[in-house]
Amino acid sequence: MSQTILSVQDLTKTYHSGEQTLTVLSQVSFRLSEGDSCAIVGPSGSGKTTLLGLCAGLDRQTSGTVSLCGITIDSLSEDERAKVRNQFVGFVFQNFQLIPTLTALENVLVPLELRGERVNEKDGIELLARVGLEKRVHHYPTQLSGGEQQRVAIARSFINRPKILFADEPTGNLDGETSEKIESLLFELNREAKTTLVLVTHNLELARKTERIIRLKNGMVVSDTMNEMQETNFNPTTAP
Amino acid sequence: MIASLFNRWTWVMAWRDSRTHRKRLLLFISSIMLGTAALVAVNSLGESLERAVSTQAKSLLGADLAIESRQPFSKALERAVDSLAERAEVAREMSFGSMVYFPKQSKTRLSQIRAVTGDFPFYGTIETEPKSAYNTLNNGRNALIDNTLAIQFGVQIGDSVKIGDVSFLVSGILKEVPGEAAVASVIGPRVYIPPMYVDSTKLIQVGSRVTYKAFFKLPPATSAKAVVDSLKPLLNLTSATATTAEERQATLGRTLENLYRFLNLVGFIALLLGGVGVASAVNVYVKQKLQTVATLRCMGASSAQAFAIYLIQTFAMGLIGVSIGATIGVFVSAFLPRLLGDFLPIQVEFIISTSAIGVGVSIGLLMSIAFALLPLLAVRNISPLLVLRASVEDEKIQQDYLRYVVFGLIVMVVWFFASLQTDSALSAVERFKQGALITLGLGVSFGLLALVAKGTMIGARKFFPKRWNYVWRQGLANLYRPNNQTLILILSLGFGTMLISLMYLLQAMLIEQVELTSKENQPNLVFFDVQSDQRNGVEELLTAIDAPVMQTIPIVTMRIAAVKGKTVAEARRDSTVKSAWLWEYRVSYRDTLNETETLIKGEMNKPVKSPNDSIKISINEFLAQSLEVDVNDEISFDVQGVPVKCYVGSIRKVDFRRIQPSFSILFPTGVLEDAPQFYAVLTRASNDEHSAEIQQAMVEAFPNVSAIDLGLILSTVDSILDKVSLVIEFMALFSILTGVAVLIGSVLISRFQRMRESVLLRTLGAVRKQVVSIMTVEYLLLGFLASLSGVVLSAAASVILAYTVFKFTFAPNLLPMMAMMLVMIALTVVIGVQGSRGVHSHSPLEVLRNEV
Repeated sequence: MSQTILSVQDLTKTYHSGEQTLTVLSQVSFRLSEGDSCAIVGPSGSGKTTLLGLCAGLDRQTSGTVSLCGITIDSLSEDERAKVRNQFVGFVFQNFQLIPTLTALENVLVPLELRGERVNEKDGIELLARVGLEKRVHHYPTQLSGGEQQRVAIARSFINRPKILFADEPTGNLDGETSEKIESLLFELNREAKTTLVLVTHNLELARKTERIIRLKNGMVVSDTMNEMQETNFNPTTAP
Repeated sequence: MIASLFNRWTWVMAWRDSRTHRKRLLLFISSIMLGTAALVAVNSLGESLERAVSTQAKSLLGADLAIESRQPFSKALERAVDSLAERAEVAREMSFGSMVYFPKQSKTRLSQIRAVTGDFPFYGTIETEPKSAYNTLNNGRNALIDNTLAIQFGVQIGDSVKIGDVSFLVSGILKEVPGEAAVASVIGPRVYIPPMYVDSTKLIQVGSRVTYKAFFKLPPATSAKAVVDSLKPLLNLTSATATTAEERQATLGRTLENLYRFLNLVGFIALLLGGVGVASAVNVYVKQKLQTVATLRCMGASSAQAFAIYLIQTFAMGLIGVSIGATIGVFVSAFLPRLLGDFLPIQVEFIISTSAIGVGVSIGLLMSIAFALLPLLAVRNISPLLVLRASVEDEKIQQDYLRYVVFGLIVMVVWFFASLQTDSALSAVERFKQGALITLGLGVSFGLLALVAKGTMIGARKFFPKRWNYVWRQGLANLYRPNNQTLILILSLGFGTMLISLMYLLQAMLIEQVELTSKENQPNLVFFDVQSDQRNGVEELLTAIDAPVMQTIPIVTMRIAAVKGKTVAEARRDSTVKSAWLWEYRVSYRDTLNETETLIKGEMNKPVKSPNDSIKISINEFLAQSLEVDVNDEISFDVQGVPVKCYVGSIRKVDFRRIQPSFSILFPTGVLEDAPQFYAVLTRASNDEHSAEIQQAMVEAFPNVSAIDLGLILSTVDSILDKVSLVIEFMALFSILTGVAVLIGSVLISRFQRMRESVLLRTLGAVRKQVVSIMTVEYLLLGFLASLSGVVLSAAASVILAYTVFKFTFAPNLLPMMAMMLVMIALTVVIGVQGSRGVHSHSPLEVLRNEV
């Protein structure tokens, strides 16, 4: 039986504004195992990004539980969560989020350097070559195109051999052709590394490339389907 | 946190992260640079002064020991001097005030005439032009005149001067007398004549103020202090005083310490301003680093690691800033002694002081880190969620208790440093109290300026004038938009303006007090030492040359014989007796108060009509305090051998700042009329030429009569204040320059923000003129608010100082303050608009691509 990488139970997030309470996520539960790929889809304001932030330990829920690689992150301090992220998590963002003052190689190596390990630059160069940027190793983000920047971000997200990769609209800022290349690269690396993939997107085409699609609306899960399978009525108790 | 600071990656990351922003980092280095430069310069000066005072200690007095008396030495004292002369070298000096007449120029001026017997000075030299002039002075009827006189009247060597009845040949120009500051000659120019001609001048008469001095060069093994101790009983009996070289050194040391402390405080204020600049710059910098920090936090960086990266950058920035500052400080310290030269009675040489550099660098670094910490703390709380969302609630930043700790640290640093600047003679508790007051004053000033800034931001937002045209609306809105510069610019420029403006106002205040006396119908020429038999002649002469005799004041000299039954002899045995018991008093008599006097207690004098009447005198408040007497207490006087018993009838307050003959003791009429007396005659000259004509006529007819020309005093006071204010302004310049550096820094640092906005505006169709106009309006408003706050604060401070310290009311003059405001506004606009010029020289796309 494969190991559970991400477990989300009854996750709720509310914001208070004056006397009003706004619930952006309500009672969300699901579980992902090693090597799974899942897309979270829904219209704007449905709570997709909030869910991703909570799953990755970037934000704190109002209630519910999140476990990453067997570690319940709810009660961890910010720094302890940062350690968990460094050890088990990779990220790809819509706006790439490369550090502008670092070269492509340096950006890729940051997660390893943060571990305090002796860093072998070769690993970074190999990974950059894997994403087709062997000639752009020492370029700064401003010297790279959007697609190239996202490829650096993908290389960075795999450098620490993460157990789970969170991707927030990874092709949202790219043109059609580049998007396709980035998508292929992302799924290819994911398969090779057997990483669990959580993808937040508006793009249903992209979502269909994952094994499972969770649809959100008004902060609630309205459907949770396995790809190539019949859509079933959602029942959290039967969710895998 | 500490571990993160010693982590190699943190240092590498700090280096990498600074790559593209190094230029921006260098900019706010300038904020701390000037303050450090000021501190290093002033501390170096302090050390140079200390070294100069200790190496030139003996030349400060020109001897090991000096005895001084306002009357000829008593026989007993003469015997003591003679006995001392057997084992020590002795020189004598006699000095008195007299009019000096320059026939070639037909000018006169009250000068200090000195006649020296013996080899004085024993240490140091009297510098003259030609060099041998002092040594050859006694070879004939020669005079050495002060350089001030030579310059004022164009006197040259070979000209003649007349002092009393004797004409002298000017054989040299006096450049420097050991232990005397050059500025002293402006107040009382010195003229050296051979002692053998003093009597022939016929200037020493009743009431003449002659000072007799004896200087000693003691054998090496003899302690000057021991000699003074042995002479003390004798000195007390004769009202003579003794000064040793060590005492003079200590007195001068204390005076110079005060000067040095004041300059240091001004330097510290520049540093404080720089600290505010650093805080603002780091604040903007951190805002630009939000995404980077959030990304690092996503990748697994701890908050301590993120914080350490920017702390290291700040430390490095501070270190570079203070290093450059220290270098500038060393150069400035070479210039400061020249600026202060006229005020220093010693030769100060330039030295590179390692301790001054050490103190300046440490305090500069401490301040830069303390001030940078306030905005840096926010780095610890940057949420990794920022990578997903543009904004995250920053409640945590608001509630960060460490901010209060850092704020407390800054207050402690300021308090500690301010306490160091207080008088070292005070107790530690008193010094910390005074330090707290200075800190409070600085805090109130900064607080008020911050209040103006915050009020402006809130006011501009709340009462936003929607009907104004677009350019003005945008310019005004920039005052409260994110990344605005309102607080920092109002703080730095406002404070700088306040300092400079306050200097001007204080100077104006002092001059205004003196000028009161130059108003019409006030006497502006005072003749004193007029003998009884000369009175009518003087009055007739004045009338003949159209100079009205406005007042003739009789003066009688006397000494105190007893106070409340205790005789002076008894008081002398009491070691705590104040010197007021021993003075010779110049007393006048009248029954009315003049306009400089106010009655505090008792009734003003009433004429004494019969010998049986009690004599009730009026004394000033300071004398009442010194003698510890109140109304109805008994004081007996020795009026030139005649005992006179009196009672205190009233206590007056006397405004001695007004240049009018004022008296500590006023007798009623009907007592002193027959006592030996002399007179002061007050008149008014219509202009400078008339004044010169009157003085010349007086010197020719009555050589012993001296004149005080109030016009001359006015210009003297003016020139001294000019020199003082030059020194103060020089130091205040550091504060203003820091303000300008902070302004340039803020403008350039926030350029990125401004560029994006301006580029967006240009993309949307704004023409260059509109973009420049918006910036001009913004800086115009900032400059106006900062300088207005500065001058208003300075005016308030000057009025408070006038009322509490100088005890008079003062209405600041608006014109110079407005001129200063205009200069500051122009400076702000020019720097502000110039700093953003890159916006216009590139295409919108180019700017966006380069900056993003």
